[in-house]
Amino acid sequence: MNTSHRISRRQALRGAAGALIALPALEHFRPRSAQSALPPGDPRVITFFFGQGLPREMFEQPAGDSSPQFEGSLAPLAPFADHLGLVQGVSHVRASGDPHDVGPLSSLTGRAPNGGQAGGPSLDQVILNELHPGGSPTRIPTLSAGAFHREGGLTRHVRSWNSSGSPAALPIERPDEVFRQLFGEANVPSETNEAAEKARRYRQSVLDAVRDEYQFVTSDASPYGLASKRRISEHLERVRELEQRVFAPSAVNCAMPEAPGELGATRAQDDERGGGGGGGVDIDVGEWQEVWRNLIDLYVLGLSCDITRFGNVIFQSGGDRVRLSGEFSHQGQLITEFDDQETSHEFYHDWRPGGNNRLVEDHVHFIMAQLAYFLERMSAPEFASPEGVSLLDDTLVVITTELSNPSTHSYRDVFHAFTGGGGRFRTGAVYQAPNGTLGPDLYNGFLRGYQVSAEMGAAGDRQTPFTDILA
Amino acid sequence: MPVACSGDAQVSTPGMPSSGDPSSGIVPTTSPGEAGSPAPAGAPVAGSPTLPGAPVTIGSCDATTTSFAGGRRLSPGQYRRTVEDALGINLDAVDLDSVPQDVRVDGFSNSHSSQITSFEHVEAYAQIATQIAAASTGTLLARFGCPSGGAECQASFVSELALSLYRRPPTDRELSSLGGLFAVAQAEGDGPETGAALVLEVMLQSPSFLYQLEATPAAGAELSGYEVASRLSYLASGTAPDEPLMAAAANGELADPAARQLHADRLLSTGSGRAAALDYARDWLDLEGLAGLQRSTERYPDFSSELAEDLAEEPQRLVEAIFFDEPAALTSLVNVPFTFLTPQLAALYGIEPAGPGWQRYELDASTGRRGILTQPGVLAVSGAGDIPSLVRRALYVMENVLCSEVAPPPPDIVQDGDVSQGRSQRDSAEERLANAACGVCHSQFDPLAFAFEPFDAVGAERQVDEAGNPLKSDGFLPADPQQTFAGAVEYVELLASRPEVQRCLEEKVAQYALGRPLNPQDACWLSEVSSAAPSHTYRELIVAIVGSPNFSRIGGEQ
Repeated sequence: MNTSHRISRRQALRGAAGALIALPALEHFRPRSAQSALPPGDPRVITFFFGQGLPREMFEQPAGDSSPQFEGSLAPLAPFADHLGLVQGVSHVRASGDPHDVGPLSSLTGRAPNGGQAGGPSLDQVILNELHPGGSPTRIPTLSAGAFHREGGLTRHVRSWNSSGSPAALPIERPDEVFRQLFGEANVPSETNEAAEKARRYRQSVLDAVRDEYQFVTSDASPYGLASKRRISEHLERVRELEQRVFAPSAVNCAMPEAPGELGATRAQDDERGGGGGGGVDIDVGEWQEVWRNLIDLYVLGLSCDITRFGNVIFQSGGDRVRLSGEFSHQGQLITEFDDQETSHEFYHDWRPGGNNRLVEDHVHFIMAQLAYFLERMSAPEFASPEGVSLLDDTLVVITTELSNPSTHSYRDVFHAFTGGGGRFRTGAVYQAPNGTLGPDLYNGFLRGYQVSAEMGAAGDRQTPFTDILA
Repeated sequence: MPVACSGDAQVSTPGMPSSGDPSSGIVPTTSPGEAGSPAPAGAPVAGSPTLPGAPVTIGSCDATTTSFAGGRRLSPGQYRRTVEDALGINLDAVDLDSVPQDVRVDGFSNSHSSQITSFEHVEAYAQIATQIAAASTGTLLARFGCPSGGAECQASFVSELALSLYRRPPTDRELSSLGGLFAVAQAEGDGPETGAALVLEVMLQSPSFLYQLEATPAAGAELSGYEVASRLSYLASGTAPDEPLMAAAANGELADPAARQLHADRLLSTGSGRAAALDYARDWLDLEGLAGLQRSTERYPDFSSELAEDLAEEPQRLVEAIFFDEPAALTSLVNVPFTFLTPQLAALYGIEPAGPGWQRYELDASTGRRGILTQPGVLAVSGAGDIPSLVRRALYVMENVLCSEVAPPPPDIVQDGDVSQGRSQRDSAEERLANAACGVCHSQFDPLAFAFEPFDAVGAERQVDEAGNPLKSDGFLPADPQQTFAGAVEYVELLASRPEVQRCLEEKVAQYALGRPLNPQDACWLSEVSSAAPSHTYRELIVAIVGSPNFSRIGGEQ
């Protein structure tokens, strides 16, 4: 099968300079073959994080071997219920701190924050590092992308973390930047262009020399101290990653797409300069969805082309502050017309069990629709294996959020869902974890699915890996 | 049942203040009126410290106890100034913003422990280096002593460039490897300018340029002269050492504290010295994002990006005045009776514009404002949202002006402090203070923002809040409830008179200089530094820090 993947939308988006620009033709994205059949045991692990939290009253249901029921604001997930497992009763770690730091940072790491950084590696990185100790098998070791608005430090929007607690990847917000990272570097015009080839050789020489500088500083011959060496060592790893991205063979499973023009961002993204003052941003939902879909199209293409296998997708950061406007429809049905007068953060605070939570419900519905788009693209038949296994089923996607009660800011019994991971995990079921189960137990359950020996979480926080999820 | 305590994510939790008493600083208190008390607000004091001839006596503390963090990466401002100074080019056209921002942790973004290195950092440094090398091609060889580009001067070119960018002579290994790039260019059929550009591109990505690396032969050992020069220059002027400082480094003069102080005082008088001071002030007051401030157009229809830029610049102009032009004690920033305004800022203040552009305005009591905490930009940042949060403003004062902190809230607190008809944030705060569970922590900081409630999220004065509730501005100091105030002007006067404020503002400068959070072991050193700065000005403090014995010793690598 050699099906072409077509991104057919041609919408006008707003470019960096604020001018409306037409989307370039992206019809040239063509997987050279169908989804690559990964060697046995080689996983893809992607985490999906959404901000603001999800009240547990909106997803809790009886446990059992039937597929999860996704209704109301969660209805966008219903088409994927057979491909998802829902785990209830899992809390993030025991920790105090700003809940918009603790919730996001402990999700997927199973550890309390360590200052402005993570207390340990994230699930995707634990698996990557143990199964590929010699380095990433793909050109981009970790790809993180998403739609969010910054406030505070990295804690609220970075979800892939190294063992040292530093970010494994910073999420990319712009679709054209995702394209550049996936295809741009490797898409240097072919060997027929002598000037480009010379530039490439020069770049290699420069990177070789730069790498040597970092290697010396980290060597035994270096006069510098251990802390400096550790820091420079981390920098060295990123230099090596840059070399790999630039010079490693490009996406072998895909024909090189033609370089597109600017794919644009939302006005809010363009206008945002660090989120100073925490005032939140105004976003038109139609514009946001279009940018989001381009981002997801490219992200999934990167997985399909085996340019990356690990990473994170984020829709809204921890404690994000957005004011939505415009009509929001899903599957042809008008859900609501947003006209937020204050930021989502404020009215999430007002959520009460059994109360009038319409604003929160509409925002959750919107978030779930964006998650559903990601699941839909991962399920697309053109990315299925020759045996008909979809990219979604062949990948472990762990979906979670920061909080289970946006007014109390509780991170007890937080929403967790997952996909099959190539048959390693049993989907189409609702699981109830034992009382007191914390994130590390669930994450260690996933690790067992890959025979990873590492244990996530602090000793006092992990008990028994939650292996009910194993197929 | 959860307790309702606050309308914001930052809510205190009972019983866990890590240093919750605002008077529990790490340095012994100096009372107002004693030697070393703050100068009157706005009152000029001696602009220069006492320099050789009457050297500051400092050094009775154990010089190995307080150490400077080594291995810090250049900040964006330091990167820019170092390259511009070295190459004589302007980097406005270079995409320096592509380097991810450093995270502000423990009050500053320059902390050794908070600097992370991501792929995006490395990629951005590579791209910027390429852009700078391209912009420099054609002038490099001549600027660094090798106009012919011949083999006879390529080594000296590398040496000269390294002196500017690495802030030290290159090692033989570096001379060999970097010099080899000329051969790479030659093999490709290109001339020595291309080789020189390759050398520059590598140097700009090298750890010896990007990081302030300091060799560590032994704990507590003396730094090399070049390492002292680099440490001094980046602290005082935010750029690489200039020629006189490098000469002093080469001659071994910087082992002498008085010599170091002379250079520090000289550098503080340069444009770079001012720029470095403003870097510090923006970081301290968390003003970096202010120029891009956004506010709801519904709530603030008159707000504009131009106003945001003015909001960002006003505090910097005041800092520049107090640090340099009309030097006064750091505490005078809190109650200084003048400011600088554009016509649109003057309108926001309710003052008749005195003329176009930036003008100096004296602030009488009728303006209801005095000092940096009442400036609209600072009120906007500290309020953190379209509806300014009393709790966040209080924590802002607590952390940035009193150097105190309170433990974060437990996870099951109901965030219940939004304004509603008949219930202002002040009303909610008073309920919290009366509630034993909430008040145990909130009493330590909520009153610190009482005076600011009549200021909205862009810092304009208002009579009622979003729900139409009348607003109050009277209150008391948490550390001494007998000290009451009727409004913001009285409040900042009380604050400025508090010894813990003076101590905190000095601790902030010291923390920034050390590149790490302070700890109790730093108390002796900080006390000596404070004593060596009798007028407590920014300049005096920097010079005193540079003159301390540990300034020339190996840094700690926490």
